[in-house]
Amino acid sequence: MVVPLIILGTLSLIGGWIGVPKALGGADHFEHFLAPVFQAYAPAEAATHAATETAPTEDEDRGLELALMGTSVGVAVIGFGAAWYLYYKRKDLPAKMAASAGSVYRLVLDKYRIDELYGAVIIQPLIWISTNVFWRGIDVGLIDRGVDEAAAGALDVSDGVRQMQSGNIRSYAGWVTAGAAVVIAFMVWRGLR
Amino acid sequence: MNFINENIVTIVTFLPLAGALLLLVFPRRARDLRYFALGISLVTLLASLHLPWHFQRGADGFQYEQNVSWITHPNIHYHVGVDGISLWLVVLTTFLMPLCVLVSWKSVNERVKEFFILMLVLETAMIGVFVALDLFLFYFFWEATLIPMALIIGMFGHGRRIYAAVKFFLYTMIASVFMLAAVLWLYAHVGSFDFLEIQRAIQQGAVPGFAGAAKWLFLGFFVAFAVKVPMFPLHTWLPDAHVEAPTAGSVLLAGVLLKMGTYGLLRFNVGLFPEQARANAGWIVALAIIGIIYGALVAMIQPNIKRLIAYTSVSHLGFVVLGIFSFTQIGMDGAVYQMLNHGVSTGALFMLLGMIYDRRHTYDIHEYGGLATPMPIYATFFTFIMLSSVGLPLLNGFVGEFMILSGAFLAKQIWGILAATGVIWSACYLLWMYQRVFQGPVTNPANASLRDLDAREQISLWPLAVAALVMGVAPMLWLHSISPSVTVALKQFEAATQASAPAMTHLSNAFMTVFGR
Amino acid sequence: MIPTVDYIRILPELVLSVFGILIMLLDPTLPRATGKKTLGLIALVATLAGLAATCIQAQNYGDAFFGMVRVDAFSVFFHFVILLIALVVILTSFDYLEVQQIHSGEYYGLVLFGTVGMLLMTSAIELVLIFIALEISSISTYILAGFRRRTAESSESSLKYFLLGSFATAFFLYGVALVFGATGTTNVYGIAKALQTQPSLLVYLAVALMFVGLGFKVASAPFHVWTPDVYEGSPAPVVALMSTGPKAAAFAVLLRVLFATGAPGWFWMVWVSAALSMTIGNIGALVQNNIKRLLAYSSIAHAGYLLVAFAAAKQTGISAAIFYAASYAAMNVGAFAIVSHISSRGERYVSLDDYAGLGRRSPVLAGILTIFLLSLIGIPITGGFFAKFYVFSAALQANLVGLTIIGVINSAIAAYYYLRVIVYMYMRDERVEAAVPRIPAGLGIGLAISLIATIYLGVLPGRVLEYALRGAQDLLK
Repeated sequence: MVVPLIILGTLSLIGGWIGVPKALGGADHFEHFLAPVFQAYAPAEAATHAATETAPTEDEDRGLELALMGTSVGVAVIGFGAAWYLYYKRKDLPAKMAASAGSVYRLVLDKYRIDELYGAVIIQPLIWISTNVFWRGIDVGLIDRGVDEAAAGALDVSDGVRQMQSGNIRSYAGWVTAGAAVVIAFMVWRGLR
Repeated sequence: MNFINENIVTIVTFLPLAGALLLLVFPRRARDLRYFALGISLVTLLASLHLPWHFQRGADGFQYEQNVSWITHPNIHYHVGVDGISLWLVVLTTFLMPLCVLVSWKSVNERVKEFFILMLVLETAMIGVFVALDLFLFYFFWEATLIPMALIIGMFGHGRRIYAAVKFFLYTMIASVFMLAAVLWLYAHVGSFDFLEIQRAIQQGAVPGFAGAAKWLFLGFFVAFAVKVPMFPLHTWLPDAHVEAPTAGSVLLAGVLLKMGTYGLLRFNVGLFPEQARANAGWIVALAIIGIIYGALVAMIQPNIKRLIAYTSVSHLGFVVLGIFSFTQIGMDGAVYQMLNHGVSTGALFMLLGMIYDRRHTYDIHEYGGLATPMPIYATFFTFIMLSSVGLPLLNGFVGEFMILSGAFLAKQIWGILAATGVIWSACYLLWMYQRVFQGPVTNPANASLRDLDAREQISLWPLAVAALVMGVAPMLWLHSISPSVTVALKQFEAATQASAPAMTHLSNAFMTVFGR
Repeated sequence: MIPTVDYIRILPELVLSVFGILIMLLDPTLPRATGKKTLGLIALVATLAGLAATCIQAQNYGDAFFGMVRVDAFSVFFHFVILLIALVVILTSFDYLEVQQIHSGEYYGLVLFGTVGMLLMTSAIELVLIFIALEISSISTYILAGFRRRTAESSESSLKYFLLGSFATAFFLYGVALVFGATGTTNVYGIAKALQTQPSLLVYLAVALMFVGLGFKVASAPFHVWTPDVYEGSPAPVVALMSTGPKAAAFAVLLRVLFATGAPGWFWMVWVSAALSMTIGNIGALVQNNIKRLLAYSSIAHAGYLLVAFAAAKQTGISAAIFYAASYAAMNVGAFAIVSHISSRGERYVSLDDYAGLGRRSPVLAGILTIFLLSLIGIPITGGFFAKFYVFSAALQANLVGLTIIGVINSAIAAYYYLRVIVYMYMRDERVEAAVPRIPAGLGIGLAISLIATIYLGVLPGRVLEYALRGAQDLLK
């Protein structure tokens, strides 16, 4: 675990060194690295800029930058300091703080129980709908059953057709006669037209 | 050289068939058969690499064309050729084939000869579908893929293989006969089966009776392709076919056969009937988006891993259909690219599943758990391929999905928004599945002593993993040839429908600047 | 005085008749148990001679015997098809008769005489001669159907076929009589001339009656009811002959009667018959477990597809019908040849269960049967695909969209029952321990002929289609 951290730390140092902002007197080499990508938008952007606002001055810019830098570094320092104090200097303090906070502590420990809420409101219903409505309901119950029923239906009709073959020769002759009658009647009708 | 240039498409298409015929007379010693099949598929791959190597990027129309009169009455020609869209689909097919042979090395032990004959015949048919420029020839190869695939599923598959094979065959065949009727109608009224001739005739309005029949022709082609893609609600044959098919069968089914459907939609539905395509785009995209979301949600809760991945195909190819029917350059580019991506990543996923099936003979998620411990190499490959399927940037899936979503967004914002949720769902189902199968402690003692991947299995996975990475960081290698052909298709589409595509030059320029070097 | 060339124009029929008589004369002289092989070989030589005679006949187009017989591309095409069918049937019968222990030499004689009848049916242009030829072919087939004397079902099918066949042929004859009454001639082309004036009611009636008679012969709905029973009971090689030869000949006659005469009003008759045949044939086959009945229903369906080509009419439709007859003959005769081999003594093994695991027991036979089944479905690379393709193409060129849609949907549904046989062969394990006997030489040659024909028609159909087209043109002249 330590080795990757060392590598990352070194790279951060190098990256920070290269990109020391102009506000602190360095020549920022990173700033315009991705600019070519947005060149297509640049004319449009420049137009909107000129139309809507005046470009901020260098000094105002600098002040804002320094303030932001100071804030982010400050927060990191406070966190570092608090951690050093609670977990290094006074190791007993965290447990006492937890005991006195009680249920609030447990709420925060449970991450405000958002995971459980999320699970109950979104995940469980989603899984239930997907399993029962989508999969079993529509896919298997509706579509697949439709296909299987159509197939079964075809086989049933086939069974029906099969009944025509009674094996009885007189019924066969009957079918032939019936067919012939229809054909003859039709042709006679055609002929009379 | 000229001879090769003229005949390369025929060579690539029929080389596997020649191999299959040779296999017929081979003696039955299993090892020789496997090496021979591997050899033939590798030679076909090498031959097919000639196609992109000498492809002229940006040239109009089809290349490596070969047009020989086959039958005079009716007027059928053996007309083949590739353009940017079909070129890489052919290479995808020949690329996946040797890997399929490798994957089946140990898992197919009975009737090995029949298996490889069927695979090689299938390869010829699949390549033929992509290169055919004569509608009759296209239908010929389209139908020719049915029997080998059905036999592969039915003879070499698992428990309910007969049901799955018959379902696959009948579902697809019933849908394709409508395409046959449409093809025959076009022939009867144009006098030729040639794709380019028919396209020109339709554009010039020289087809008698077209106005009334166009809607039905469009639907006829559409039904056949929609079942193949597969689009909701005609998709239920796919999970059954995948679950019961042997590994190599699944890889080819997901990797190539499904692309035949999307390729057909692009080439024929949009290419021949642009006005109907635009008119019907609304409900087609609706079905595609339903497919994306529905497919993903149903995939999420599947207890059978193979069925899970099968449903993801429904979801991913919904993206492709969305891209095609967005009628934007970037959307259609992305759709073609995503076809290739899906072939690589889902093909690899099925190979991985096959490897675990070889060991445990089950696809049930509950049987697994904590597999990363006994099989770390396998877990790594799985992670890599899975992330490619999810669409993680740096891997191929991201490029395709991003382009499709851009196109969808440009076409209609709501399409883009709804489809984009699909990205979330795909992460859901894959990551959750991964967690249940690979992470945590080994819950089932049967998994504790599983053997990790051996050399052969790793060799079959490495090309796909490398492809996923390269396709993700250098997509221009492929888009260079795909994009101009899509531009041509889109121009013809716009000319026919006289609608202007939304302005997307900025976005695609930005994209090309970032990715194209 | 009858010119010599007239005799050349019926040379195949003469040759086969002579050989047939020879067989009948030799039969009592040869020993009972073993002599029949010789008769079979004589029959084989007869068919080969017949093929040679057809080649000679083909050099001499023209009418013969006072305009009763016409030799043109149409009749020569059918001559070749029917003779090849007879060849394969005889080759199949060698071994079949041995296994079934049928020692009657007149079998071969009857096959040859039946073939004579069929050949004459295709070249006759005189309705009465057509009737005579029809009867020659039918009576031979009636007897052949009952050749497995020891089983009741064979005799039953023979009797059924005879009774119903005579019934139907009576319709045909009545129709011929009415045509004569209406036009004063029974020559097909003479009738065509006479019908150029407004046809009378009698002609319509005559067409209807002739259609009934011929419709029975080709097993089209609603005259198909005899087919499943008769095919199931008759010996398998005879079914191979029955389902292809007389069918092709009857279709040729139907082509002459409907198109060469310029008969009126046939369209809706044919349309409805086509749609019904396809549907009843395909739907009826779905639940069949007996392979002979299954193929019988399939015959009905294929008659339907052929009638679709009839409905399309004109040269495209007629040539499509002719091509379909040829390719159907190739695949069906091959399929029944295999059925006859596997069925074994007493035709025990005719159920689908008996085909289970055939892919393992006899991969060669299973493979060949698969190709025939794929051709029947209409999968590319086989003749059946092109045949269906041409038929539907012709139908769409004639704007028969509804019928085409019915046709293509039926093709798709039909795939199920053919696929079922393939599933049984390759994907189910055998329950029967019966080993399939080695393929005998005769069957092997016969199967090779059918297989090559099927695949040739599927890959390079151009030549054959041109002949068919020429035949169609000659028919309409």
